[in-house]
Amino acid sequence: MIIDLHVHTKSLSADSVLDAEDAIKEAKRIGLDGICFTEHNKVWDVEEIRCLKRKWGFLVINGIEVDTIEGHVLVFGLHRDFEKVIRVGKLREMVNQAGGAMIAAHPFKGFRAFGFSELSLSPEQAARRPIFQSVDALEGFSGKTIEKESLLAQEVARILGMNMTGGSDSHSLEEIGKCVTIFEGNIKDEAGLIEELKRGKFRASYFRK
Amino acid sequence: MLSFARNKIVGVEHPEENVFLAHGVLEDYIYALELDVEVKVPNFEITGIQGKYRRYTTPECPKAIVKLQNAVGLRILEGEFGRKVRRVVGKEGCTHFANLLIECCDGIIQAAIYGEWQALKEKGIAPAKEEYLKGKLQDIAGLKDSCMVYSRWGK
Repeated sequence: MIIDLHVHTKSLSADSVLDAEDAIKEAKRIGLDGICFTEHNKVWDVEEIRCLKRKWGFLVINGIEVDTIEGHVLVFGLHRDFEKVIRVGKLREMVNQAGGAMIAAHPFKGFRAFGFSELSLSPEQAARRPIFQSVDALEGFSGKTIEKESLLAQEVARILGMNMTGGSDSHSLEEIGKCVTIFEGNIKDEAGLIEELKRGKFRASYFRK
Repeated sequence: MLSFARNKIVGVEHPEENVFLAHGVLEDYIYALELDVEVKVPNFEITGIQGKYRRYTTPECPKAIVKLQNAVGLRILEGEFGRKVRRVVGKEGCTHFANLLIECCDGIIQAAIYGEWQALKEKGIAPAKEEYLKGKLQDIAGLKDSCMVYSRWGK
């Protein structure tokens, strides 16, 4: 199954211009099997997601992108909003209690800025970031990172032996499906997604040209 | 007629290869405060911060000092850095400290950028300064298209 795990809509993310139903239509049109709404620090109402799924006959999953001090984290299985920026370790405790899953989102966005001097970040140094100890996977393919940042994330995943996901981080229609996660198993709902994320039988890829 | 003035001064040091230090002062006729920030490379992460008020208005103000520690662990090149600082240092503590912290970190980024270009120049491999600065504006999430002169829409 091909799923875009990282989409923002204007319903709950102030920086997005993407209508939720347009996003679903576009995801269907370009051949995705599912889409995840991961708004900034806010979650959709479970019943609203259910209605969208039913109306469009399409897999729509409720997630959230949480601001932590250590970086952005995609979370599935935690149905609450966040008012404050928290530490990633605290978020891990909450997600464990809820039986959810966590992904480090675009972990090196803006971080390959210095490439030639003592300021440059090597993959080995990057892999020591504390955030990677608290997540189940990292976003190695992101629609919002430049190639060298994505390559760094992929190299860090290799060093740490972590699974990689892909997500577009869409804030507008034409960004949907830029990057995706391809799951071996069949996913029908949020619980199924969490199970597959924990099982690790998936790979990340670019999708939309 | 000028009705209000606020001065902000930031000094940056690069005492070791992996450390930048910034000392910032903010002063207007109501508030005066100082900040010392330590940032370590290559993660460009805030690893230490201390602040003090020289002048403040309410007994609540000094309580914001402890909230400065919320900034430890933040990475200053991240696109969301300013927003996070305004939340964890500003909203939860003092907006003036948040403002000064952002200025201090802007100073560190500038020092790093010009320092790297200078190092490249000494090795004889520096691109033209304008090209180098344009590249940095695109590569550093927090600076993207933030300068009218060097943005991709600039000259």
